[in-house]
Amino acid sequence: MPLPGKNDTLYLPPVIETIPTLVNKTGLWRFLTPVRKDKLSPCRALCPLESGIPLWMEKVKKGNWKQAWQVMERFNPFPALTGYACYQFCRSECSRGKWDEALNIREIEKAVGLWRQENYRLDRVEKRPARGKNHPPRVVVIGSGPAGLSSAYYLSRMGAEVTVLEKEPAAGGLLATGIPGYRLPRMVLEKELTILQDEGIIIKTGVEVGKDFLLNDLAANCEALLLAVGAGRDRRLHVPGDNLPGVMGAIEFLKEINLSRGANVSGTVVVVGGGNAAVDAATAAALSGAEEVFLVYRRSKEAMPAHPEEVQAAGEAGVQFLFNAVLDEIHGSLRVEKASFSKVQPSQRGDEIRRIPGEGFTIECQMIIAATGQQGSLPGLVPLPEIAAGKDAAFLETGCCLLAAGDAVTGPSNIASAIFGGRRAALKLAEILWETGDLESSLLPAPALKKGQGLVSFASLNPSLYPQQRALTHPQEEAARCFGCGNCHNCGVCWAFCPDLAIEYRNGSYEFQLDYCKGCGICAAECPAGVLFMEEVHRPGTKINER
Amino acid sequence: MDNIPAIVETLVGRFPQQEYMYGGHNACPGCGAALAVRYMMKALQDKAVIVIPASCWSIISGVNPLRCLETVVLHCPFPAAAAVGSGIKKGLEAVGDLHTHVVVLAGDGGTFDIGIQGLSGAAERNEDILFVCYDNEAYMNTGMQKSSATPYGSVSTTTPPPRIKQNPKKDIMKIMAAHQIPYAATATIAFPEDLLAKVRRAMEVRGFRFLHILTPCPQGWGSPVEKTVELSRLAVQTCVFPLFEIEDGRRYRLTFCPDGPVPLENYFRLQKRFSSLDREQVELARESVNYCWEELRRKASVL
Amino acid sequence: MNGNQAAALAVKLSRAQVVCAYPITPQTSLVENIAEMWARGNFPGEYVSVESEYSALSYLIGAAYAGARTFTATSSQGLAYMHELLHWASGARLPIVMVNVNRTLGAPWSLEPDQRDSLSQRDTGWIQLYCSDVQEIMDTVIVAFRLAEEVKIPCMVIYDGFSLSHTYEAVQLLRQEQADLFLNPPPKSALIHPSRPQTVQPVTDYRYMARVVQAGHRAMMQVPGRLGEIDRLFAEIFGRKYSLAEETNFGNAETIFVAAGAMAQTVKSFLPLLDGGEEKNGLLRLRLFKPLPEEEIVSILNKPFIKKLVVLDRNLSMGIGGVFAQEIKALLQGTGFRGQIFELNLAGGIDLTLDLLRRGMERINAWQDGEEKIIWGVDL
Repeated sequence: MPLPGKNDTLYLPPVIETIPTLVNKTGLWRFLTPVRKDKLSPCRALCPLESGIPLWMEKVKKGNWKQAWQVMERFNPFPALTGYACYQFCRSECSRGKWDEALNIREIEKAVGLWRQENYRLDRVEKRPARGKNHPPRVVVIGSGPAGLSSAYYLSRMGAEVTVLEKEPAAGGLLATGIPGYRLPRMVLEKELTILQDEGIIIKTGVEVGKDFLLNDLAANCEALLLAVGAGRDRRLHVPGDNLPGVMGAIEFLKEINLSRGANVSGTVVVVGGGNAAVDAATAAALSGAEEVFLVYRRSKEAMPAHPEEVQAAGEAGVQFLFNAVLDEIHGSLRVEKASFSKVQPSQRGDEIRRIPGEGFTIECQMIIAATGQQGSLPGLVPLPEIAAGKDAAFLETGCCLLAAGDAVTGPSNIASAIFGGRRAALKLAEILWETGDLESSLLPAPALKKGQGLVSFASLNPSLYPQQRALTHPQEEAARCFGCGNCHNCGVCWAFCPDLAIEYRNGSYEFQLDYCKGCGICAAECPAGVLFMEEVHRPGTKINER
Repeated sequence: MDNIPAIVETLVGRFPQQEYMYGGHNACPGCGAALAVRYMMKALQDKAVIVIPASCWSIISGVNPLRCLETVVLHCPFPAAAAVGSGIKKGLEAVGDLHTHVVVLAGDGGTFDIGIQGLSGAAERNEDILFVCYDNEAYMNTGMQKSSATPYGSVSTTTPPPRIKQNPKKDIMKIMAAHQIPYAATATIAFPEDLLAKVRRAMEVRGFRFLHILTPCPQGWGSPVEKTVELSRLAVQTCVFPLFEIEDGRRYRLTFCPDGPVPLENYFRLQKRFSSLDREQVELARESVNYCWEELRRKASVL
Repeated sequence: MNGNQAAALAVKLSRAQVVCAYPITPQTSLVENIAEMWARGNFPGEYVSVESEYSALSYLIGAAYAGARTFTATSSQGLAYMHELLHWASGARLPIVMVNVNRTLGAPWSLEPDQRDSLSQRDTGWIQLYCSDVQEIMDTVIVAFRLAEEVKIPCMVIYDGFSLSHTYEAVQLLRQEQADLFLNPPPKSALIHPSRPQTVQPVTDYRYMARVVQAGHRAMMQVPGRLGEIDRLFAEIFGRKYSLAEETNFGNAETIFVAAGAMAQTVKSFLPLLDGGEEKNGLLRLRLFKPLPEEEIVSILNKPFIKKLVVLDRNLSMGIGGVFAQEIKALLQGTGFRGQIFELNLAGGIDLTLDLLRRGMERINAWQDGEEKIIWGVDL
């Protein structure tokens, strides 16, 4: 029941209309500011292709193979090939190796490559007219090795009409002739070549420049000529008897084996040298019917330039290694019968070789494979010496542009380096062949890394968020172990651990709300990829170090 | 590996994006308690009112007229939290609101010390509230005075060296277990998914629920501000603060089992409050930690 | 029916939603009565037995935050233990109703009905109503709910331990329909909900705090007026008339006793015996003590024929004297009141007998200038 005549004030305290603390700009407390800086991951720094490994790894983690391929492609168009045959330089410094076990990057790369081969769709890129022309640029690539193929791939994607010429009956260069089938299944290479041809690249095998074509005739009918002829021929042994039948160069030998020309391997084989070609040749010999294979190297095992993986495979194939010995003479009347060696003092690369007087041995053998290096085949072919450097393109009288790439420029290297050479040449040619800005950046291969991008250090990572976990066989699970060193992949750890709600997810990435950031630095300490750093940033009204 | 914070994976979607807390709050830089409540709110969403006794959070939550939590926050005297929380729940039921959760958010002082009578009473009555203790192991709001949650060997302004704290930290989880409440759990900020899961779990249970959250305090612990989360992680990895839950005071379950225990020194080294410990005292601390860890593992039947 | 039973019944009739208390002699039977009704399903609200008085009031602060109608009861040490929360409840303007049964504060332990427990909470911002018989206890509890909810100030209903709490008197029972007519229906919606974010009693600076205490004071100043109106309403519904300060025998009395609680009732019955029917003595009973209804008391006491005021204090503020006496002196300051103010102090819980009162009056009548104006019951 209401009270009669009640209308006095209640005298309550004023009502508090609370408002969010957002008006409180606690960012003014800050004297250190989080800054995002992408850094170079150790794997990428070591990769001859400078492949953005953490970038595509991120896509694999999510099981998004298509995006993984799209990222991969700009660095390496042939992940299936490198996934089998690359020496995996990236793995040696993997940050994960300092935590539990290095990531098996190559296997994941292979998985991306095989996915691509499986899920290949013909999406022919529109041809684009060359600069000042009304037809697309015509490019002739001489040599179908990894360098030639990668430049052909990129140029074709960018809109050129590409023809690849190969003097051997099979395309692929060293991929076909130099790398044994047990390391790179021929099916995989075949598939890759099929894809290239599907994309409109013309590959002609069994045609040799200088024999079937003249360089000048070619130059007259194209806008660019790319020389990707490889490092060339085996160096001779330069010992008495090195011209006896039964003495072969390693490249030549591998070519014979791999092209199934039926090299007759039997009895005892001696391989001289310590590089990849030597070990490959020894392994191939052991697997092709030789009774005994000796690999003789002039220095110690540690000094071998061959990749340890190769050495291990050779050992498993039954190759016997003889270190610290040099070939003195090859004996034989009609063909090789035996070879005599001197023992030398153990030495490292760069040291002088010192024979130990009176200590030597001989091996009775039927074949000697020389793997003491290759000499370039470029000088004989190329009319203009400056392009040998691979830096600049030269122009012939017809206006055709001439450029070299791959081992022809660098000397014997590896598949990844050769693909990188092709990529770089394609990028160079793109500048020449088309108007700048005419090409979408997504079509362009990734440019070479600029110098000065800091390498991410293990100390700046936060591995604690990852359980200790050895390598896994499933590629996607294995990819999930990647720290993504130096590359922000929007994992959100900074956001999750910010006590001041100063990090927000907006438009697909995490952004700092510096109005509220008190500069505690938890985000930088917790960042698993090591891309956040606390820096003194001058702001109006705040004096650094004077808080 | 469900006991690992899988936040390394893309968090969008897995960890609730929605915030129920605003930036601009008054916590010190690197505050663990602020982080703990941010996580807690993600689980509570708009289903709970929060009761805060005198503690750091009295200040963090905003000085009149500001508020940093997107819900109702009710302040109350220091020892009163558990009873006020219980009263709110009962009051809400009396006026017809049967759904709103009541969460008490007390510091270690309001839980281990001055608040323990009310806490024990409410636990014994099995009041239908969630009592969250954010434990920064001393009276931090007033400047690092010792509480009964301060661990052995710690320096505080009321246990200055050489008279550092000689007694171990009160084992609040055992006390709560002894009340046979339906749910009690420990959590810490370095394991946010675990924390969220426990708050969610607690919300499904009726009756008295207790959550003990370790929240490092860089100012009080004398640790680098950016190491707050790391300290929290180390506390778990060194078994100083194991993560586990107890149902009905009987069924123990470890929610995280460190692979190989990290040396205690790694945890101590980062904190100035332990700088007065000599080798012998560290050994004593280690023995105590090991004993408690083994005991807990026995209870959780993982030994 | 005794005082505690009357209070318990009134709480039931008031439809309190949350009752939370901790037992303490001499309040215990009140709690037991409520618990009994609650256990049998005869109580409209929830009864919670907590582990201390501190938690009891904390509990009610929570329940009142939520918007519920709340009640507790305590005594002596228990009230003192609630002290900080008394301030919190009044600062937060929560209309909690409490019964305090007067009992001596230790040390040493004692159970006598000393008023020091409630009077030492004078400045906590609670309304204090003193009852002098069992009927009044029952009526006042209901009035207290109405008053507290009207002005949003917590209200304490106070009566003497044993002499009222445990003394049986004939009581005219209130009926539920009447109580429902008198009181607003109990709240049925919550004051708080997560969907309406707000902060209740946050940390604040002096500017807002000053507003809070000023508003508290102004609201308190409304109380006498409001209570007057509520008393009129009460009389309308229940037929019993109460006043803010009750005067007895003021015709031409020279000596006026001032007392509160059961003592006032005792003095009232002694009046005719003291002077043999000459009506030389009157009585002013203090019902609303906090705030003191200044206007009413001054107009009652400020009469030229009054020579002496004798304030009966069963309490003591050591170093000052009886609290009621001090309050009355302060009130009459500057009003032109010319009588002398004596204080008959019964602190410690001395029982007021006719004999003791007579001897006290002898002392007062023989008083000479320069002598202490406090007449100590303990010395009589």
